[in-house]
Amino acid sequence: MAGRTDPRRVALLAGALLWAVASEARAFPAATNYATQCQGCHRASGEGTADIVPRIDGTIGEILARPGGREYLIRVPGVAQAQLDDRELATLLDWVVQRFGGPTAADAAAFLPEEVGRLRRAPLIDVTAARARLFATDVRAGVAAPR
Amino acid sequence: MMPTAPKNALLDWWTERLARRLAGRTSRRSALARLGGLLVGTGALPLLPVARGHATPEADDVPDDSMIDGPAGDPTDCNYWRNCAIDGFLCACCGGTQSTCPPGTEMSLITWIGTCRNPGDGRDYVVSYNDCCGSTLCMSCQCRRTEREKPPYVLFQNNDLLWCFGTKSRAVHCSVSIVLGRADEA
Repeated sequence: MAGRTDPRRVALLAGALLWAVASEARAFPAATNYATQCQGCHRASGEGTADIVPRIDGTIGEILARPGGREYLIRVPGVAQAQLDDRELATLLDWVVQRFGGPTAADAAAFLPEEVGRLRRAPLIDVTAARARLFATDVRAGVAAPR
Repeated sequence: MMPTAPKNALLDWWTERLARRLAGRTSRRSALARLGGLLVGTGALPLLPVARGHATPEADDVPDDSMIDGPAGDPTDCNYWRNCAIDGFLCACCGGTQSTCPPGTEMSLITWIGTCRNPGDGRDYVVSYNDCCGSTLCMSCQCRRTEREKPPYVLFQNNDLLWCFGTKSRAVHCSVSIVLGRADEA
């Protein structure tokens, strides 16, 4: 006569299976996540497309150096709504800053999953206005915000 | 003096007169310099930035399709492995290939990017679906596959859109599926 199946063993097996499926679905490095989540519009070079998609290369370091810039980067719709969890998104942001931030961003503090999780839940409603505010001092000095 | 007949003699006369005039007006050295300039100039022409930035370059080491049996190895089939998230007409059926636009169309700069598993080696690859723009809809090999694709309210993860952005024309003709690299080591 066959013994009864231990429910704990079933739960353990199901848990292991779920974990395997989850890690199978999402185990990509930051560079791949950049490709699938950002590159389609911002392009591999980070240069964007004039008047359609903002440039990341060379401007992300500038944004990060400004008051409110770090929060802005997490709350822009493309970042806040990326199909990644908070930890993956924090790692991706670090990767993007290191790749496109230039020398000024080399010592930037790492993005924390908790910080990303909190701010991405309040995505920017009006990105253009937020960007203009970020560069308000430059606008007064006659310099337009980078596009 | 111009000869009257036959036709071959006329051609000879014209050629000789042209050659003599050219020889009388130019030195051998200048002719050589011009020829040299032409040769170097022609060689340098491909280096000029002639819309080269519009193309998404394919990775150097793409998987070998000839190792895959059936539709998954056929670039003109919707079930071709690279087409796991394509929505549109396959450029391989429209005068182009799975990674190049047909002549007369321009590759979109902005694209929808997904990942597909190659049945040959079992690995995931990052695939860029660029639209080829500048002509009416191709109407051959229409495919719609939706792996990892999201509804239109997640616009940047949706493939129902026409992706002819940053191109001279917004008219979409067909779509390519370009392998950008391995997903696990991009």
